Amino acid sequence: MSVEEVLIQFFNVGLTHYLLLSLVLFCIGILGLIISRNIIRVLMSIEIILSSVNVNFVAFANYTDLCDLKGQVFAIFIMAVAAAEAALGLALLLALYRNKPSVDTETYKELNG
Amino acid sequence: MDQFLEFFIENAGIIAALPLWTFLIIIFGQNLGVYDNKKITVWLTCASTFIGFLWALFIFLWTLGAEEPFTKNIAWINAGNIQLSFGWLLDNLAAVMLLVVTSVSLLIQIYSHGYMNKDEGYHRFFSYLNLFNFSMLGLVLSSNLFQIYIFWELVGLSSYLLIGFWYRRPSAAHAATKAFIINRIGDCGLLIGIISFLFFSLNWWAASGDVYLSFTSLQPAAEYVLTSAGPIVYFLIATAIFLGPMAKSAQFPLHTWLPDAMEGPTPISALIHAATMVAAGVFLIARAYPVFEASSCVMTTIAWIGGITAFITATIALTQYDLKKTLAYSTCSQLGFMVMAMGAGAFAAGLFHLVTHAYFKAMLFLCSGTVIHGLNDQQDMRFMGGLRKHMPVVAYTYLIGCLAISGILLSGFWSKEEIFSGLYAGNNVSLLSLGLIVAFMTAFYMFRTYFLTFEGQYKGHTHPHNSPKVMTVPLILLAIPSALLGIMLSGKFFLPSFDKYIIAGKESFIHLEHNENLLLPVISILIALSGVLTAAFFFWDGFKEKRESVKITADNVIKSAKPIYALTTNLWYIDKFYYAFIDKVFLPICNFISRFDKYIIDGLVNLTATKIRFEGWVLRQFQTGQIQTYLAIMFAGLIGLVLIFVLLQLLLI
Repeated sequence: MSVEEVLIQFFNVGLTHYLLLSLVLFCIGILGLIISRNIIRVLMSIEIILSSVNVNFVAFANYTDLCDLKGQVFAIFIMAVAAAEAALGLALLLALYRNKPSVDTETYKELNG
Repeated sequence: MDQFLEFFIENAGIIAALPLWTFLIIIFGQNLGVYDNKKITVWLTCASTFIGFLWALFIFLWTLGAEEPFTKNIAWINAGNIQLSFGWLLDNLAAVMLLVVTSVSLLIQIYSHGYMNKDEGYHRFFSYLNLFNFSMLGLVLSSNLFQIYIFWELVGLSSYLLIGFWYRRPSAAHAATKAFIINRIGDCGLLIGIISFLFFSLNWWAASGDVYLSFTSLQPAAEYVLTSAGPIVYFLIATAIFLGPMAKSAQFPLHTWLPDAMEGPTPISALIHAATMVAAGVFLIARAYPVFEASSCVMTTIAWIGGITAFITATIALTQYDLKKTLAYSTCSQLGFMVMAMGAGAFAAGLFHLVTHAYFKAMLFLCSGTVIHGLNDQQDMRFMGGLRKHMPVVAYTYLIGCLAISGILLSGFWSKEEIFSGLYAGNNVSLLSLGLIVAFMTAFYMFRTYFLTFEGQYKGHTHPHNSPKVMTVPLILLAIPSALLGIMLSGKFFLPSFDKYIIAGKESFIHLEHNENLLLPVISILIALSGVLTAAFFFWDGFKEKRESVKITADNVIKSAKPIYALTTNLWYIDKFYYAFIDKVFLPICNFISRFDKYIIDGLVNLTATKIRFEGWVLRQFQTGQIQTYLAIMFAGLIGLVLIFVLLQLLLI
């Protein structure tokens, strides 16, 4: 392949680009989930993951399912679930914070051993 | 008449069962607080022994007219190809031993009532006496080698219990433990010998139909073992079996327990360590005689061990100051005589000496017990003297005992005569001379004790008092057989000669002719009389001026022969050698082995556990309790699975 064909492929935005975006967002989310020392950051990374999945669904809906747009419908479902889950997670975090006044994940080692 | 005696033969086991019952009655009676009266205990004990004595008399009468020994066996253990039985064997030897054991036991039990009357452990003493009686009678009645081993151990146990009777005294406890351990060494050898004998002769016993290890069939079984195992192994087996009598009858080098056993009450020393238990060893040699006879090496070993024991212990007895210890060493010496006789082939002579020795030694011990009791437990002869005026009966019976043991015309003379003529007939000149030297020493030290105790001035502090009739009457009763048994059983009167009686019905490898020559008896009487005169010269006050004029007194002799004196006073350093051996050799080995066991063997087991614990630790590192770690691992696994999936797809396409 010549340089021109690579550049053309690089700048013609198609399904692949959206999928790549979704993948990168997913990896950033996972990374943040694993590495974060702060629990709030962990919760935010979970939201990033969920949004990456949303992008994935919507991209597929736009490029392959123009009739029914099932992907976009499902993305709305995911948004609702994500909201509920975020509320639940924050409630749990508040309860945990009341017992042990720390947001450092290093301190949550009760099940160690 | 025969049918009347048949009853006693068929049920001979009751002789041994009666003391067992009495033992149980006394034990349970005392522990449950049923009765407190001493008379019940002593009457029960004496009654059971007296019934045993009458029974033994009837059995003896039966053996006079019977041709074959009587056996009755019950099948007991059936384990594959080994079948062991339990029963009794009644022949001439058993009849004689039963008479001796029951009569001596009876007289000593009567004596003990007087001796132990004020002791707080009176009932315990009589219960142990009954246990001993049961074990000894069971041993005498045993019909096979295995059963005799059981009663052998029981007798050892009774001895332990009785030596350590005053258990609060540390010396008594030590003496009891020492006796038991040394006997255990002998028992170990005996068991190994019996089991290896059984092992080699198993086919023979299975093919004959007799009771396994029965005494009546030992001779052909021994020949079979000799051919199947070879002479060297047979020698080892027979020596192992001899280890049992060596410990029980206090032969060198396992004799050290007997003098220490004098820590027990004097009736016990009389019963067990003079008359009966130590005779059990000689009895076993007599019963297992075919085993020993088959190998002449074993016989010479037995004879020489007997001779060496007789010599060593006689020399130690020369210098002892404790009355009971002298008598104990004298017992060792006489037992050496018996074993020497049996080893040299004079089977009947050894047993004859056993019977006469039982009576006069028991009497000597009971006399010494009366003396000690009268002096309030004073045992040292340097504080005795002149007791003939205070205790005349004891003095005269003791004199009879001394004459008997020295071999001057009373019963000991006849039995020693048989031994010497047996040794002479077997051409054992060295053993014979050893025996004559020991006879001289025996006369010397026995009369030394007589002169130091009963003649001269009283050197003690307390006032000696005479003893009650219950203690002196047994002495008189024992004096009769001590004096007369020898003459009665030598065949000159209406009773049959002892040696013909014992050997009746037995085939022996060794036939010894009874020497009718008068030379040997005369020599032995002269030697014994010279021993008496030497003792009188050193220790009798009648010769005091003569002693001082010639300047040979006992102290001078001791000073001039200091090393020999030290050797004998320190018991030939045998005890010291044993203790040093245990301290320097045995205990370090034990320590090493114990440390080896603790650190290496236990360490190996602990190592297995530590390894598993380590593996657990490794696995535990995965459980951090942090969810993020778990998520990371989950995600990594997921990626791995996807990679594998993709790779497989690529490979397949």
